[in-house]
Amino acid sequence: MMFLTSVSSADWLDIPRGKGDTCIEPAEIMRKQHMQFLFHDRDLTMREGDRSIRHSLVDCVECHTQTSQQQEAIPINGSGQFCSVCHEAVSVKIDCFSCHAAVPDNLPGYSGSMSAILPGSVNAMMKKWAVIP
Amino acid sequence: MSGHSENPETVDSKRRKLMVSAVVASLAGAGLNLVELAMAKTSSEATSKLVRWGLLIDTQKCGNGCDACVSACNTEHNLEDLGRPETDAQWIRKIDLVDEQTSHVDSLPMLCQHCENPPCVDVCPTGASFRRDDGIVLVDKHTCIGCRYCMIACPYKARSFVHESLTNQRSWSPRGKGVVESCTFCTHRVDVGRTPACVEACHVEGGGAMTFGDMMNPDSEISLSLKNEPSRQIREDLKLNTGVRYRNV
Repeated sequence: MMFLTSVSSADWLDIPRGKGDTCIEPAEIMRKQHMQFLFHDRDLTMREGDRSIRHSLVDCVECHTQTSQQQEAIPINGSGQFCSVCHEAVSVKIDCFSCHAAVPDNLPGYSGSMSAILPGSVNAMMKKWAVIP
Repeated sequence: MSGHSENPETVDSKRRKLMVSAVVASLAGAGLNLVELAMAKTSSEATSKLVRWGLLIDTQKCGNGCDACVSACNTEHNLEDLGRPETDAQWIRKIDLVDEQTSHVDSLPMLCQHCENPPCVDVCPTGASFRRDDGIVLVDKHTCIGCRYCMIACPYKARSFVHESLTNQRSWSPRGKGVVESCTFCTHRVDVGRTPACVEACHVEGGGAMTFGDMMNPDSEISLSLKNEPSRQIREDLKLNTGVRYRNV
């Protein structure tokens, strides 16, 4: 990390671009502080159940995962991928993806944990239970 | 300890009633009512102590050979069958309770009971085992050191230890080698107003034996069922005040 922060730009590394025009924070802030952001919001979500967090590892993966020629998602920590380019350059091992998914979810009917896959009748039943406001 | 002779559950329900009436009194002027407050939170709100998630399981409706809840849980959290049943993770399992006198068999799902007084939280040396404000008992896997005291403390054998490296985790359910895990009541669903995967599957494919809801909301289906019909906690002698209750056991 010392090495990266001591130069004015990391543009000499060939980092794959994410979807969209800009990241949720300026790149220079993200380079230095992404773990602080992730830790803070992780605790909010896990301990307090706040799901509307701004800095989510799932969103990092969603936005920064590259797709192979066979249209399959390449794990974000794979060689030459978004996380690895910098982390290999500075020799900092990433431990996130031994537990966290390194590719976006690809379950039939799911586009993520927020999607509703319930048939209408069951949805109505759930409402009856006062689970859905 | 003579002052503690009263059943803790009775004390708790009295305290709850007191709290509820205090909240009603304090909010009446603000034009709010308790039903709104006790509703599920929106995804951006923190969990509330005014909610306690619970699950009522009617074992009479729970089919003998049915394991819809188990497969739904395994799919939702990708609990893969590694072919090693002694160590494979299991968040919910079907068990048969046999009455030795009559040979009567009750088939029921066993999972984390989300106790109000969870022994797993008591024994955890790092604070990784914790209980959310809304009653859901979880493991903070970043803090868990894998000592497995909680697995020994749990009277329901509800927790699993991950013995080997895993792949293909779901984005909403991070899992990895070296830590303990158990049923989360599908917090990723509950936090956005949905029901746990097992409950959904029980109603779609199974016998509709599961009722999930807020036990603090007097008008919720689970509260009304608990109030109007007899139910039991497994090992109620331990006075853990479980969030999972059973009927017809």
